[in-house]
Amino acid sequence: MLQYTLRRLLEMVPVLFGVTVLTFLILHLAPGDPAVLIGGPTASAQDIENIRIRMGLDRPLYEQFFTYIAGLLQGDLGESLQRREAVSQMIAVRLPNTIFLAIASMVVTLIGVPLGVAAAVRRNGPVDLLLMNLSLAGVSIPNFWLGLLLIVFFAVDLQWLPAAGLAQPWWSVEGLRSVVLPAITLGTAGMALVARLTRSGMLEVLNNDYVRTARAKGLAERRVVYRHALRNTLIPVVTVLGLNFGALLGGAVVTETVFAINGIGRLTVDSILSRDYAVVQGCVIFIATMFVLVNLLVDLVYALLSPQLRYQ
Amino acid sequence: MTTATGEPVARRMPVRLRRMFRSPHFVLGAGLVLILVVVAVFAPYLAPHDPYFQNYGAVLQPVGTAGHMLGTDQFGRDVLSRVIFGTRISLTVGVTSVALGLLVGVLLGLLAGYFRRLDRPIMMIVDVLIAFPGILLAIAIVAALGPGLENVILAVAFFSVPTFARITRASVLAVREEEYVAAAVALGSPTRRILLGSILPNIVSPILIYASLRLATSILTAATLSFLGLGAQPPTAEWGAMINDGRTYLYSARYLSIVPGIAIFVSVLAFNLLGDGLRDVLDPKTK
Amino acid sequence: MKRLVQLVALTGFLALSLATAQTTFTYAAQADAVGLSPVLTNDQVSSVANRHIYENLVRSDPDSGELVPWLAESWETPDENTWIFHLREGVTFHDGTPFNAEAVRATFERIRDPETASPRASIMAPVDQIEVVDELTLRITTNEPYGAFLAALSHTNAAIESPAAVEEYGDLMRNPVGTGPYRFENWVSGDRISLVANDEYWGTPAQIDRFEIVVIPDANTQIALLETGEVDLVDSLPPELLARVHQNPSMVVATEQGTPVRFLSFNFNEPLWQDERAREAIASAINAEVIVNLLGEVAYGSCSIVGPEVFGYVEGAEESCTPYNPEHAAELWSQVDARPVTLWVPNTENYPRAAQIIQGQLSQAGIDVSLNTVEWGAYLSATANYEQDLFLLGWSNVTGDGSELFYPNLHSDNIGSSNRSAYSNPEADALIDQSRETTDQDERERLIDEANRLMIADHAWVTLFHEVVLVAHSDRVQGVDVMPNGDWFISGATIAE
Repeated sequence: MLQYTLRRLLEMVPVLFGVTVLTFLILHLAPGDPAVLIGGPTASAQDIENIRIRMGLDRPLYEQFFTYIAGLLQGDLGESLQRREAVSQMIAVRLPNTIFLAIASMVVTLIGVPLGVAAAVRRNGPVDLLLMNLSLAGVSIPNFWLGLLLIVFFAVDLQWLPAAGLAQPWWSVEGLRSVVLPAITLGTAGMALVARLTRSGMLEVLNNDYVRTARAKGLAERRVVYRHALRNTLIPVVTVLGLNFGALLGGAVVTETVFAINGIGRLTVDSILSRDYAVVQGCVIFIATMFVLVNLLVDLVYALLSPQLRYQ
Repeated sequence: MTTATGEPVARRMPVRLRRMFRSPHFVLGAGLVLILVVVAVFAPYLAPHDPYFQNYGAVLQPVGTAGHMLGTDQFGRDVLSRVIFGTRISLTVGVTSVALGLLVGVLLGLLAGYFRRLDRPIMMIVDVLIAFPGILLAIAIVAALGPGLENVILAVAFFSVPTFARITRASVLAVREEEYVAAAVALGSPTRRILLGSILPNIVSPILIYASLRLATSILTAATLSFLGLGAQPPTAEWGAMINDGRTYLYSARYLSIVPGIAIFVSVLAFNLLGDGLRDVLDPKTK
Repeated sequence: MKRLVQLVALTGFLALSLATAQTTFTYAAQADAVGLSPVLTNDQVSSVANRHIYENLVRSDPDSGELVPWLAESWETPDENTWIFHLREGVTFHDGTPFNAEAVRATFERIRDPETASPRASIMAPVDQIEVVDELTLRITTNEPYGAFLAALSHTNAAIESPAAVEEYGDLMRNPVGTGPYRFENWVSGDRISLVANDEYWGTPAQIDRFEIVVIPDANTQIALLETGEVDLVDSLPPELLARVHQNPSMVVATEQGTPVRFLSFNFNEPLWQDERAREAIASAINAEVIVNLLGEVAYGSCSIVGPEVFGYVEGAEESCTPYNPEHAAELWSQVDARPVTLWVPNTENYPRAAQIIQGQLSQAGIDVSLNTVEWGAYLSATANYEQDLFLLGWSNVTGDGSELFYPNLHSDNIGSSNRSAYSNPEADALIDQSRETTDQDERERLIDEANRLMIADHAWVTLFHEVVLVAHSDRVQGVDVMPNGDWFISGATIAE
């Protein structure tokens, strides 16, 4: 197990290196010039040249790349070109908001499990049909639009919940209220997906021999469903949940924009738009690392849940 | 999902046809997609107004106004006509980007699955692309190339590639050991014939199913990019861009954001239904 | 003496109110400030904060708009290349460092130093030497006469930083220390900046204890927060949301005709646009009034390049404009070597909106125009590389001086950077040069006016509109000073409980 973990960790290195190179190339081949943006429309040619020199953008591309990698190897994500603030600091400040949102939308996503079970035990019944059609709708709804609808109805019309920002601290009533709408916006598609997965997983398991045996032994149906079937269904669901969580840590760009949440996703987009290379690099590396790590974690959990897979 | 049986495709066709019309998802999905295609093709005949005609005498008319069933926007343009023309854009973007992503992805997948030497390097690239946060990749590409529909197509295609490659590779691996492939190899058929003639036709199902689901995602992603101001630019009648434009009027004229959202929802739903239906038909084991 | 008594009384009152309740003023900004070093930033939100933390040698008076002494009490110009500034006594920076000639010299030297890479180092370009004469006297010599020097010194970028703090932190982006009525307390990146009143302020101390700047990107949300009282002031509102603000009796909309100008211009590297008839065709096909009307309160009309609020504008400059006449435009367009044209549009502010109107108007004159809307970052680079055909842009005129508008935008010296039209007109160049060199302000006004009329008639730019500076605040707040260049101050404002 330890050996497996180590091997997987080692395998991360080339992937993350690839992500770094790709980001670097995309950014530096992009037409916008960070020096021109920092200078603004007013800057003279000389002003812009000075800014370019100060940021090291006048040096050859490979040299800039090696400088960056050298810093990265020492754990230094560099400094924002525009704000002259440490990138690691900028990420650290926003991380709690992103994590809070990710956890809250995970909770929403998890609602998919009981929904999937409910659909499976009443296979082809009206509940199943309704839930499965709703879940198809759930994966089809554009989340930015869902966010706007939620704002219109719950924040503007009914004035039940706030329309923007995350209140601190999380555990306060204000904090919880502020996360409801963004969490629904972000979690709905995942919830729908999980419901579908749980359902198909349950159906497969419910037809298995040991479940039939359990039934034959006269165990209560509820017990059969929850004790025996669900546990085995959870394996693929955990995989999807894990992948989803990895994506949530970096992919909440749209939700963070619609609800004006100061998180990693918005930082990345803002930095792309202001050509703040170091910040974009840092964010992408951070997000990709999270994604790969969570992936690894999921695989480990998977191995623990199903011992027969462990030593393959 | 990646199940592929060794049987040649053609023989199963009639059974499938029958099964098709028994799948409500397929019927509903195919029906909706057909409607979308008709709307897109005949947009100029269906739209009551020129979607770009500005009329400052009739701005922000609410839904239900005579002559403007779905109201007008801040420039006095007819919302219904813009939504109808938007179908063209969304379908074009969806189909072209999926076609591009499919082409490159399937090619990579075939190569990786068939040639053991190429497997590692190709899958390494695929892993990098998958670890790269999807929407961010699209945003970065659009930022690099500049906003605009062509670049949105490229960006969306780009991040369809890795999944197509993975699905294809897995299917190839499953099929490679089948008798008829082995037979073709033994007969000394050229590699290209084996890949395109023996393997590809037998792994079409999972690719087709994924392509349909991917169309849904692509339409959604393209609309998202436009919503973020990185996709279609004004005055283009694109749904995501319309929602973004209408956002300022969320308090006073909310139909401006709601109406195009319904259009996105319906078309994404249509392709998801179709994909689901296709799965019922082509890949009944997973049901 | 009377002033002193007032001051003491006021301080006493302040101390009293401090003991009872803290007053807080909250401003909703669209984006986070880039940084709190005036030397290194020029974005709008940084400017709001920096204007309250730092001060300049001179500033424009909120009432008259004239340049008045501030950290400099007086100045003299013994010859046209020498400026001697007498600084205010008894001013200290927030960190206790005394404000003196050395601090000013250090700041100005830093702006000039290429290694600092200040985005507006050009404001010090004509300066030759900066010498400290004594503790409170500074002599600056210039290479050539610098007529717009005072205006340049009032620019945010020329605000004075504490030399001790610069020594300590390297730059003041995250650790601002100035002499202003507010001092820095805290900054949560991407979220909020907190300033507190400076008790040791040399002038009339601010009456509001705390000044919070919170980042709220969405305008609808800004207004919603203004309605609930969580926010006290918002600026840069889109015109379509103003009705909502007006409907609310507890909100005040303060407007001021501003210095920012928005225009359409040509890529003069293109043979088509070197043909004056082609430019005239575009100018006569555009009816800017429609755009002004659509934008409502946030814009006002004048086809003059130098706006009515900018130094150098003389009434009647509009006489040089090309009147709206689509038939005439169509006729001219048929005479030139016409082709389909592309209008480049930044994807921010009101540009896309204006562009769509212009597209409609040009097509009515038979001019086939397509729009190319480009994201801001790429736009600035592309237009500096002259990839555009026709394009829209603006200029915000921070110093409110016509020379400061003409030189970067339309002087041939700046082709390749800020002169994005690649406009080159020797006659205009000469007038701009003279207006920059002359220190006689009446003469400068005459020169700028002449250059203005010349370039309007030459269709260097087609002016679309000038911006109205607009802030909306709750009626709890009184005495916000709004300036034509978009700056606003709460240093003299009060807020009710």
